[in-house]
Amino acid sequence: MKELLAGPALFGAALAAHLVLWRVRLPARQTRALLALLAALPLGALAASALGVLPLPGIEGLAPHIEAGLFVLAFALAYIITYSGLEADSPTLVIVLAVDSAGSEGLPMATLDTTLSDERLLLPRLRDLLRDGLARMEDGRYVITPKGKRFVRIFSLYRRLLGLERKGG
Amino acid sequence: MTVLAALAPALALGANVLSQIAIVRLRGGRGLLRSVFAGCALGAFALGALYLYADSSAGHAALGGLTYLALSYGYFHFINLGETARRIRLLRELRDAPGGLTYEELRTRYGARAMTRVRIERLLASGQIVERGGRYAIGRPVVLAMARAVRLAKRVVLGRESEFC
Repeated sequence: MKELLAGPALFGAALAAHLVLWRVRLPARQTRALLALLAALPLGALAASALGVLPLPGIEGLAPHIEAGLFVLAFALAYIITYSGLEADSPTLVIVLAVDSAGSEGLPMATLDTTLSDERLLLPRLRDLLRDGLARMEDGRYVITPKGKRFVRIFSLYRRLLGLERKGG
Repeated sequence: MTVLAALAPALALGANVLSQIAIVRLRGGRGLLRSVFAGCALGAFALGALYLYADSSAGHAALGGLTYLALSYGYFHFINLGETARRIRLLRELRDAPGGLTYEELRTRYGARAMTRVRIERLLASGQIVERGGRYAIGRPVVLAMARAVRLAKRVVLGRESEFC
């Protein structure tokens, strides 16, 4: 029974630490910090325990360590993906909330053009690309970096695997 | 517990992914969302079969089930990012322009109007919003429920409703 709790307990402790630390100071690179706190640290602890360096109480043998590690990894990634979605405003959800707030009268089509401007939809995402080193500025032009190329290749290859032609977005 | 049982959620995710790819390719790239749900269901079936084969206890199967759902959730979002994420679309535009692009050039290729139009078309196609006499109204309230949940989560986790607050 104790070995079933190892994964949830480790992830729960990491999540509690995240909620406390984020109140003290917001990291500049939040995704990177979350990966370290929610995934790398607990997985490191499990690896050390599996190797007998720092055994965790109530969990013995390779299989329970793998089980706990998969749980931690799955929930860490799920949380980080969800958190990234919270940081930036989703245009789709903004549209739906704007339509809903117009009530039974409905929202005039032209209203969305004012609400969803380039300043709100385009500029912040370009800033994100620069901040994360996926693009850089060169003589007033946005240029993709090698890191950006590697990143987008993953999604392009996968879309080709799925047989999807359109660019998305 | 055996190593096979411990790895079952990851193996089930593999079954999920392979079947999802096969389904969407057989349909010529159409029905992406349905293929994701179908893949998830097939993966869950594979997970159950693996636990039966490994004779796992109910507790391990339940924990593994939760792990598999979290992995499937992550996979869904990975596909969704490729389909809808602005950053990835912007990177594709930059990748296809070796000399780079100015802000104005990016606005022309993929500015707010294009972003909004694509999303409205998606919402209309799925019935989440409807058009009546030049105005939009809520249709099926599924995405609206998600929007309200996300707005609440932003308030709780980030202490604000919008990145522009």
